[in-house]
Amino acid sequence: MNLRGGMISVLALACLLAPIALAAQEAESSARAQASSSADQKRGASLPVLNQQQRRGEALFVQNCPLCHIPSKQKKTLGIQGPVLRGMYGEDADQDSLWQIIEQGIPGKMPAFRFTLDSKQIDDVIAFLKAGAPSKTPGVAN
Amino acid sequence: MKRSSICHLITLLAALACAGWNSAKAASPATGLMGVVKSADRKPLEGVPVSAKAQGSTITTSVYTNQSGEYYFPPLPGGQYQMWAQTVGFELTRAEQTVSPGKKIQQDFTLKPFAEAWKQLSDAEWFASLPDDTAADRKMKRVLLYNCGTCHNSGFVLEKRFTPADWGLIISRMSRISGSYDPPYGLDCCGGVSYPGGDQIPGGGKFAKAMLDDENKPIGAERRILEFYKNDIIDYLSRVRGPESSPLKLNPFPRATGESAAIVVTEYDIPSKDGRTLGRLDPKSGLTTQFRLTSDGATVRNDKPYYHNNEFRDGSDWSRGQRVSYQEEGQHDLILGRDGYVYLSPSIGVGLDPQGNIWYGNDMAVKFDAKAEKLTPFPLPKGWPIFYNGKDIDSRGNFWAAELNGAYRLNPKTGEYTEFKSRSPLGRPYGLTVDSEDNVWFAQIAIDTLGYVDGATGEVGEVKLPPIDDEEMSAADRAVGWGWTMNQPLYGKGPRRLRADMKGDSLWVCEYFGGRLAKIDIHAKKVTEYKLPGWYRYAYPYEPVVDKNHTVWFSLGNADALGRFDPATAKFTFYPLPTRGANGRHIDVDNTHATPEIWVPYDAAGKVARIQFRSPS
Repeated sequence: MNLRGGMISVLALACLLAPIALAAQEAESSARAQASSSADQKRGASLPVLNQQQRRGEALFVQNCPLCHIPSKQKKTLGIQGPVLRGMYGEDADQDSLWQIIEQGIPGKMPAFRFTLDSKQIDDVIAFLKAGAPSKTPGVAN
Repeated sequence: MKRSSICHLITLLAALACAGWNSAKAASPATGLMGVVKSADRKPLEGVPVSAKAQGSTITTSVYTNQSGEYYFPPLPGGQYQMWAQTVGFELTRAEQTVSPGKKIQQDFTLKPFAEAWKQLSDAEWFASLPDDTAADRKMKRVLLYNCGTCHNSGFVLEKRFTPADWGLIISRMSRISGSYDPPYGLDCCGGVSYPGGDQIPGGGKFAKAMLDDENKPIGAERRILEFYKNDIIDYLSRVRGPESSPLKLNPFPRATGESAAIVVTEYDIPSKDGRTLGRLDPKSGLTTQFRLTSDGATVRNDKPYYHNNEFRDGSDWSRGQRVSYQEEGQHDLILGRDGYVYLSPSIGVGLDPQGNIWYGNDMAVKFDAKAEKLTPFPLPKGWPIFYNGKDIDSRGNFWAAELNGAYRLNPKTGEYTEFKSRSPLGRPYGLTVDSEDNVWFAQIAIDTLGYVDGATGEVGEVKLPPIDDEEMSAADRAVGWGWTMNQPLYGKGPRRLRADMKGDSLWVCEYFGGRLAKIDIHAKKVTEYKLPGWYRYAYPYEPVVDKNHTVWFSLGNADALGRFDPATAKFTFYPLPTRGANGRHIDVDNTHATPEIWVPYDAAGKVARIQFRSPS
């Protein structure tokens, strides 16, 4: 399997699920209460510093992706948990493959974001993923 | 001078002194940070928020321009400030200024047109911009309102565009999530226990006909609603937010004028936290100290909490689009302590006892002794459902919490919990509050019913809200059964949280889905309702609070605004908030000032806000 094909396979696995709605607001608080850990401060201290583009990408990521790609007990129970993207990609990840998945989606599994994100925004998301996707998204022990 | 005149003069001077800078100044001061905001064609822009944040500070201060486009800030600490001004249809424009106390600093802004103004809309403005010409379209707007808004800022959904197949994929997943909370079957429905009533449905009775999901598991009340509207929702979203040209008619609300623009909004960044950590915000410094309850019952203090802020997702730049509740580490509830601090609860529902201690909790009550700085847990008996949202303290110092079956009372002296069961089953108790006569009220959001525990007798009663009968819906819509917290029938109102006038005999309730305020006479149990005007119908009123003047203030989850209702005149006033996608939830009032000040936590934007009121210029 060549690099590009391998990357697409990894991404296909990673994008098994489409963005989904979150739990009810009141349940969110409960989830936040129970899922987060006391490692917040330690984790915060260990997070890499993101550049401007990566920070834009982080914002777009948490606005469009975490509903599948951030784990939760509920999603696992329901069988709709997508793989965690954190740390999955490095600097050498294939740009075209990432682009294709985000833009085109995976029929029946992940929606295409080509009508929602413009090319600059997709670049920003990829920059964030390549930085290790170190999002400390609220409410989840990622 | 006559003695009475002297008394009047003293009273007047005292009143002016008490009113202080925040509410008394009508004209721009001689010193401080100020300027004019104009459009590119040199016309003054009214109602534009201008914000300033000092380097390294957690505090953002925002003021609004008057009809001449002029703005001025209250006295700010000296320092290097980032400034910005923006409004729908105009680019966010930035500036930097060095503030020195006692000096006048002029910073004017010229705002250029912004072509993608739809990105800047508030959630309610999104609804105002959707097609509205046919009865079917008007109904579908409400279907979205009743099925998406517990979890999502509406703009979060509507800013996206997908193919019909992809919308179908998403809504199918939504349905599974709804089913997770589905009474009586959902795994997360019932406070951590299996619902003992078996097939019982919200309000009583059983389903007339069974419905099964893909895995042959029974579908309950909530998911039935989403499944009933599922294809309509997919068709509608595919039309209004599909790949083809969107039939949106950009319809931003008019910018604030007069009284609505005469405010100072101070927003405080809040640090990361977990479910066992109480925050204590010092409004003077903007710094938060955290107190964490460890598993062995110890209290750990942290004076340097971690902040995970990102300016691209904190709502300060409206063109970055809408937030979702998980996007920033938001704050759902707060309460003002008696010690000048603002307490940031780690879970929904928080109370203040007569000694000034803070109470909150999710799976058990936790008391924070504000003087000793110590957290004490009060475990629930094993097997009891954990708390739902609302918590409060009665005049005797008992802690109350909403729960699956009604309400719990905890006697802090003995640690004993007592359950008060609601008359109707599965009403989904949500908000809870204590009124001026120690009656405890809980909103049963699923069945448009308010339960109460009589403060004198302990007897439980109910007050029913009438169904919506003045909006278009078919017989089939009216035949849809009760839901839960995430999906509700179109005739439902969704009483969410409630607060009493502690100097009167009224209870006020926010009808989240119905877009109304309800007043309940705590003696006669009479219900009077007030519809939010215009597009605020779509604004998700979440929680009211009543100030010392009997004025009702309420948070709006979907409008980036603060609501005010004067019961004497039945007049609504709305005040803008400078953060987009804030999702205001809880609310509290500071009655220690001559003009009460309001505090609103942002559940989706990582800040809490204080709103102060000036006299309009």
